[in-house]
Amino acid sequence: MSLRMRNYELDESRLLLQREPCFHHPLLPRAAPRQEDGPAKACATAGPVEAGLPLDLNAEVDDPLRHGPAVAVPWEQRRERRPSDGRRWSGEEQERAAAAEWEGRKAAILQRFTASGSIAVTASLDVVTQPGRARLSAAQRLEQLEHPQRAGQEASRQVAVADVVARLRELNADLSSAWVAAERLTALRLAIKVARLLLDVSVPHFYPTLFVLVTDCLDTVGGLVWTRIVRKAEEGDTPTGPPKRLPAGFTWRDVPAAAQETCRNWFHKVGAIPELLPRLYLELALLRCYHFLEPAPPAATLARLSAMMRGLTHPLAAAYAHLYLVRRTAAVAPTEKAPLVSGLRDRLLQYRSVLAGHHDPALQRSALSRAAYLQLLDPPLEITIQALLKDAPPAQLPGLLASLACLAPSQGGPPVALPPAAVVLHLVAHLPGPFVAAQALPLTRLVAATSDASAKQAALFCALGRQLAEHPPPRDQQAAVLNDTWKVVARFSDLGDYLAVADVMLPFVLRHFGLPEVEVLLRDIARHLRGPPPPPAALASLEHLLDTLLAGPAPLPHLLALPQVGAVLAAFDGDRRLSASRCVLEAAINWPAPLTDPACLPPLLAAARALHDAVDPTVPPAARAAPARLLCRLIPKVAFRNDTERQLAFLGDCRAAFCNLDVQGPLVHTALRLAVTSQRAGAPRDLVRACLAFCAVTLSAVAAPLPRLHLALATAEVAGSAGALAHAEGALRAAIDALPEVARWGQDAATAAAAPPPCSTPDAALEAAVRKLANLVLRIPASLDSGPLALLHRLRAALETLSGFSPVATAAVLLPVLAALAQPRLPAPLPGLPAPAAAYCGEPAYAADLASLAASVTAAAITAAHAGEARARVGPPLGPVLRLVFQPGDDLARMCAQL
Amino acid sequence: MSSVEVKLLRVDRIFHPGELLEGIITVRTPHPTLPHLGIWVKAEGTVNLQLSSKALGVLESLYSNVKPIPLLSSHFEAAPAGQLEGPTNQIPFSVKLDPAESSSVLLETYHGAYVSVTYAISVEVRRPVLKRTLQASAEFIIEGPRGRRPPPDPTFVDFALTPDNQPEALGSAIRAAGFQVSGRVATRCCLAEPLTGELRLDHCGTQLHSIDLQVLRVEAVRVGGRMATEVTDVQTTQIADGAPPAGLALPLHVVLPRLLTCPTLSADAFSVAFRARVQLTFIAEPPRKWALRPDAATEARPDTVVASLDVPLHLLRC
Repeated sequence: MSLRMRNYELDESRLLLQREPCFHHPLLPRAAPRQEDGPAKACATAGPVEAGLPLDLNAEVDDPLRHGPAVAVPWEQRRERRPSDGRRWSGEEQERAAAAEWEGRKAAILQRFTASGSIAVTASLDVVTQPGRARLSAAQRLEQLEHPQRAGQEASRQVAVADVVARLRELNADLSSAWVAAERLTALRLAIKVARLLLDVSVPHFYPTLFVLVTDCLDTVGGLVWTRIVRKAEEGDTPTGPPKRLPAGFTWRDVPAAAQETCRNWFHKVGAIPELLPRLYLELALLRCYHFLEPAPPAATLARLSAMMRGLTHPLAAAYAHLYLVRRTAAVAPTEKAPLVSGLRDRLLQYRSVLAGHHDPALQRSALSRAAYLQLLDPPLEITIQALLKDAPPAQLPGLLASLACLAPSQGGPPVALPPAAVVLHLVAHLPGPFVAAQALPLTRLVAATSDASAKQAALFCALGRQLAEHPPPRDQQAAVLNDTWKVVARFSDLGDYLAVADVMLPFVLRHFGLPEVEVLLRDIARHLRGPPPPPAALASLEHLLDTLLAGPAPLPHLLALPQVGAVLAAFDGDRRLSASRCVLEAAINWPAPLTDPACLPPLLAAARALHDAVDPTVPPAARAAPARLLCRLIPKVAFRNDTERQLAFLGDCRAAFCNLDVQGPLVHTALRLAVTSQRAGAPRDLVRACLAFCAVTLSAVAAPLPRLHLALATAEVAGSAGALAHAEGALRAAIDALPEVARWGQDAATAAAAPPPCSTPDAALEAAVRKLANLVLRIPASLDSGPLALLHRLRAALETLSGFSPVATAAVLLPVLAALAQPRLPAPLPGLPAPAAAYCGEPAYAADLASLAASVTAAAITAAHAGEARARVGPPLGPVLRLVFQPGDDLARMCAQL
Repeated sequence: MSSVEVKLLRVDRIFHPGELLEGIITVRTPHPTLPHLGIWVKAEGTVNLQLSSKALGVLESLYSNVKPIPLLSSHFEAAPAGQLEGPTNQIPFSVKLDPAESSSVLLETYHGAYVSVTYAISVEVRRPVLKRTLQASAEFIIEGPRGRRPPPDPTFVDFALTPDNQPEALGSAIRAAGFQVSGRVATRCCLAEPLTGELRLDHCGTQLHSIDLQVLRVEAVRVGGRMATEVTDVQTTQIADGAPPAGLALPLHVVLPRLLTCPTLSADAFSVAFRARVQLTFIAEPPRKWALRPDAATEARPDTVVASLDVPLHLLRC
């Protein structure tokens, strides 16, 4: 029984599917062909480009996302849709928008000034300490009446903050219920009582929370009064008449006199409150009701209320009262800025007195530091400035800043007194970006000159830097801005402050300056880092700075080549060092081009070494995966052009340095790619062989058998194509020797899931590897010393040791190889290598060896098939294999019949 | 049990002289019919005068009798004698608000301490012998006609509060430390409009507790050929709860209370006028006490001392 001779070209032409030309793209809607386009023409031009791609922009595809811009209404039109002026300030929209905005701020205030524990409640807070009369039992009420002193003593005790908060929320509900029960005067008295709570500033750290809760109650009252007057207006002048709904955009002319009278009554009641603070709060709560009486938003009233707040001499009470004015202004007259400006100026007088320490004795009594007190004053200040700048016309901004002494007046001359740093901070943070860009130089000088306890100068520079990063100043001012900033920042004694500013200013420098300026900045940073180790907060800024630097527009190889980057990296330790190293490596990996400059290697290798050194044998495999993955992606990224030796040296260094991590795979792949490119570039053969030798040595260090098998196969293929047959044979031997290990690895259930795609199971992976191995054994001739079929014998021996590979499966692998070896021409020969049969020129001994081996493999397979061993392995049936491999004849027919 | 109720058609119950007061008398009865001898309506307005015991002395104030002065007196029969069907009957009525013969004008309603001007409408359902007469009454408010007079020019009167214009009782310490509050107030003002002005603290050497603006009424009643005058507080409005920054103008804005104020008026038997009082309340140092226990002196609470200045007001209805 002899091996069958094949004609591969003929077989291929027979097996090819019949192809026909296509006139239309299958993914496009079918359209009738134009008359002038005949079938022949369409046939000739039917390519993907001519037919139109499915996602081609010109194609008529119904894409719902393209409707987006057409449906969206421009901002200007949205503004036009708003109701007319008279309606606008009374409208529900503004009230709702202001309420929604306040909800967010309220949560922030409550979160920022979390008051816990207990507070010493004074007599004025009795409304919150005493439970509602309805909740008192008769015995408790009698006790209270009989012993009023005892009740008073209880009122002055320490009360848990949570209880006070709960009681105030309960009071809010009481207000609504009293209103529903038509006890409106009771509700008003309760509201006044609640507003009086804000007179008590003896527990300053509780004041913001108290303000939020009390204003919630007042907002409730304001809403109830508004609803009441609307209902009254709809009833008309006579209660017996039919109700008439107010039009949607009603004005004061639509409101009947009776309802207006009711409204005035409310203001009379509020005006009769003797104390200034509750009177102001109540009038502000009812401010919206001026719509029933006046044609325009109550600008004059707002101005008066703002001026009346000058009578509040306690800074905390005045600041929060002004905050309520700001809130109510946003709800009823958002375009009115004058009351806010004058109010802010008044508050700044008090703010300065706090800064000057005039209130320190009182603060000492409250056991509060001045800095903590200034923090309490911060939310009103910030919200006021935000409200001032919201939708402010750009033309008014210089005047506004001049009025706050932030900018010199237009006539020139320096500002008389600089504003507090907190004011400058909020202004710079919330000013419109284009304005900051236009006024960058004066603002920078203002920030540089402002320094007090209300805000850190670093925070001011940070706010400015954030603005400048988004909105750069004119080109001719950029250098001056940077210089003015750095003159001050470079003198910062606190490293945390310095690094925070550097972190924020870096994007500005990266975007608008060149590499020399970046280098100067980095050099200054490195100079600051020479001192004692930075504190954790500074390290966080430094880490972000590094991230920003590497993700910025500056070319990464140039940055990595700067020695200061290494200095920055060296400043980290512990987990932060790992994080910074990861950041550096990720930046290098994501860099779109290969890293070709050897100068950028030191920081990369330092970062990689930091990651590697953090992994010791005790680290679980899962924790090793992430650093290993990073290094695996980094190694192929480094490519020195035309310097194969240096590249190979780098790979060798990596192999030596990162022995604890599974990086051998990328090393081998990179070396193989290096060998291929060197060969194509006409490099000396020794260099290619050196690459292959590197691969051979590295292969032995790969722990996982299946990757080692694949790497060996890849090495063999490259070596074969490079004509390095000895290296190829060595790699194939290594691959064959790895087969038993792969089989054992496949039986390990724990690693079963790690089979590489597309093989779904370890057995499939092994089978695919064996097929590829057989393919390479076919294409790579063995050395003459060991004999032409030595590799096949070795492979057979290895396959016979595999428990999962039966003789039938072995025959299914080996017999086609033997048949191909008998052909004078291989189906896919390696370039420059003849087929073995041709190489041996019809040597009878070679043909005899082939026939003998084929017969032996076939016999073993048939024996095993008869013995039923094939059940152990699901493989191709033996019959078709035999028919494909051997010449048809009686022997083959008899053999197949036995199966 | 049968009852009667009188309700005015105007919800706020505010009327102007010469207007027609309209209302409804509602008579409810559980019986099928309610016989009566006529339903009478009476609209009355009077000036009630009281004598101050402080001005005249206790005895003289008890023995001196000042008669009420009638301003409005209208008495008419809303329904003649007959029978009302149960359970509810509504009888409308109207009264022209014209001054009584003895009075030339209907004064505005005013609730003062010693002078008060009140108006009421009362209903009487007269019933046969042995049946109780059903009665009900309701107060209404007379306000001067609005819009007849143009708002007065804001004539501001300047004032300055210094130790020089204060009595000796102020105390030497405060006097020595010195203070000055200056400002201006609109003295001719409309009742429907707030009292306005401004005030500024020029300097103050003593700790200030508050700055207030009081509205005072000056009521005078003629008795025995002389006027018994009494000044009482109508309303106190806080302007500042401490010492405001020096030189900063604080607006004065005082909403005049309804019913407790009226146009400034002067008649033969009485007069009502108003004043604005700017009042500074100082926190005086507690007097040093000599005590055996060292903490006894510290227990003395700080006292308050008041300095004030009055500015006469002329209130108008406009």
